[in-house]
Amino acid sequence: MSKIILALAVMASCAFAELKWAVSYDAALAQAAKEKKKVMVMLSKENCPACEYMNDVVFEENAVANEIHKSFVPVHIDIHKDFIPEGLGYIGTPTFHFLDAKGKKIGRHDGGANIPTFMGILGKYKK
Amino acid sequence: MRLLLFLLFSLNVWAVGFLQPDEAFKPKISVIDNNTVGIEIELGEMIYLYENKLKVEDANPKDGIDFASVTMNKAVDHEGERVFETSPAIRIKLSKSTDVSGEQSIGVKLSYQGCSSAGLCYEPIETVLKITIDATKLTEGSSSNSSILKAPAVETTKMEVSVPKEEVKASETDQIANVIQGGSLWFIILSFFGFGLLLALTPCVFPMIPIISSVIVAQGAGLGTKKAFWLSVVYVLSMAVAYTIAGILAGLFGANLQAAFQTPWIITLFSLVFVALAMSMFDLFELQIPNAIQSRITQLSGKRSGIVGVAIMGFLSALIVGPCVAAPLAGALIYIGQTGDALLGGVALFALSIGMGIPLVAVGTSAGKFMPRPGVWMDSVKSIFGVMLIGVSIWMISRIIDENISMMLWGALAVFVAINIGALEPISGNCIRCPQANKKALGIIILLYGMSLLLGGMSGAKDPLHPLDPFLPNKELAVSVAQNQHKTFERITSIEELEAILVENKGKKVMVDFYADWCTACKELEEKTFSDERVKTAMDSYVLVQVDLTANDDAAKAISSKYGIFGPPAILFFDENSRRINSADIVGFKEPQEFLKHLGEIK
Repeated sequence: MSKIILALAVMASCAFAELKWAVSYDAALAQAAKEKKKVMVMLSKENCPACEYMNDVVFEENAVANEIHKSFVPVHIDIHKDFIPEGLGYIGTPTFHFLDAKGKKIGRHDGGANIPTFMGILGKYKK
Repeated sequence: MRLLLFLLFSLNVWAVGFLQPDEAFKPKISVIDNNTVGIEIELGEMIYLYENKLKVEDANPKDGIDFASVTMNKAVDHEGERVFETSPAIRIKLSKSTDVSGEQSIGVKLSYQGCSSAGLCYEPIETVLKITIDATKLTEGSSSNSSILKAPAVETTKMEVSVPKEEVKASETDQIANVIQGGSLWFIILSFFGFGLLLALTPCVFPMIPIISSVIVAQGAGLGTKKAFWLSVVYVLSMAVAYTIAGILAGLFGANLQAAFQTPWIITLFSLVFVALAMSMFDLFELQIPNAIQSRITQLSGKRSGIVGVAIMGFLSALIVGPCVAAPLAGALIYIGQTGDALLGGVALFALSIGMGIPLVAVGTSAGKFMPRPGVWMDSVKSIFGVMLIGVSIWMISRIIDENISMMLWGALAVFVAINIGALEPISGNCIRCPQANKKALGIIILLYGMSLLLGGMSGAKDPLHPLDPFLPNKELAVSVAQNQHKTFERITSIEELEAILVENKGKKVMVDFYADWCTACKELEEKTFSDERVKTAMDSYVLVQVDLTANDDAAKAISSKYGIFGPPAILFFDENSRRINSADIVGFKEPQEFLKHLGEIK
């Protein structure tokens, strides 16, 4: 019985659109391998209005969150606080890197974007 | 090779559309006069610098030449931060503390950080600028040693108190929104479970009772209650699987329906579908699989045995019952389709079928001993569904019709319900404390409320909780006068249009709202904030312009980048001289209260 509740709880937690960030880069790769998805890394920092726009407006949008969850495991790296895996470059924040489950780079997008533009970016790298 | 690299590199820059840091910020140092050096940081297009991140220090504090003072011009407000949008002019007054003379090279350690309004924030940059000065001509400073050791504080001209930060508030609203979202999931699951239980009380479940009974009886005599219970559970679970699949499909395919559900004719169509489904609940027509097929499956079920058989029967039963519960089920599926969430769809319909299955488990366990006795009450349950479906159809259509008309529809529904539960029927016999009296009382309450909704709706009331507002003499005046005077947004899509409006309205304050159909936060802003009566009144002192970015085409991109908007929602304010009030920018959703406060703070 408790297993059923657990399963339901897990399903439930995925069901609403709030973007679920993986806890770490390694966890994201592991999860992506398990779920046969890709990884979306967001490099950001505090005091970055464009990052805030992404978090407060774009990722709050159900359509965007669903699209990300469908094909990607999102992970968030604060460039001033967290370890930045090798090869993930940036000239500023936010910078998005799209990787396959082995950590191989398949794409990069510099800077924030509005909802349809970001949906276009996701569409480009989910294949 | 180097050229190739350079080409690749610049191509990359072109592709991402952002300046490299050394292009975005070009610091320059120059000699202003004998005692002063100046620093300028030339900023690229759309680049701005944070005032509090700009630091000037003496790179060689012990070289005998000190910074007596550092001054710079005033920063401006940009989305609540103090920034430089054009090059800051930094002036460093030099003095010498020891006897140095002749040409001397001095170093200035400059650190700064900024962003591009196009949506990228650069890393902090630290650089040392060198310049040669003639130390002989420097004035002697007050050679207090302390000034040699510590870097002088950067002086800026006086600043006004900056507006309180908005980020903190925004994150609070987010939290609340999260809580509601999290809660609504359980609300959905529980209500679907409840719907399931209600469905089990309709005559729809009848065809299932002989099936489940025969399935269990077919297991042979002497079947223990425990085994009967488990078989019933298997039966119900496999029925649930069928419905869950339906839910997941609705969620998957519904994702694309989401946008379609915004168009008026689709809303009208579905609202009519719901009315039709409601009619079937009132027995105007019947949705059911032909009897021949039903009885055949019932026969078949007698022959099957074992858990697998029971499971297959459960799955098939869902199909039998399907058309009968189709009306409420279609409602549930359309609702799920709107959320566009397959998992939610699955979970919700699973909850619904478990609710539906619980009475069946009871029936199965007792091998048909306890059975809900059919009667008129079953039709009442069906009618409740009918009323709910009509309610859903009114709710849907109310998005595209006037508030007072939807109020009249609600009123009409309430009157129908009231009459049908016998509000005006005489109570038969000597019934003083019998259920019939209570029912009649309830009916009269619903009737009165329905009638006031109808009357209020006809007189233009908009609030279902205060349907009789138009009849209160004072309020009526205030409301109608205020409503007539409110301004509306002028919709535009290009820079040219906006500039024309700004020119046309010189001498007036202008509020520009960046909006798009695909942006939920924009809609929230319209529905919750701009429709608030107090906000409407406050906005009346502005010329209202709405820039529609829905197309996301070149014109939309041009206007966003011109005004440094990453995307909607964003609201800009222009003063009487058509100058943008940078400090007043709003990004993201604001509650009416917050928005009013913000309007009040704009000078």
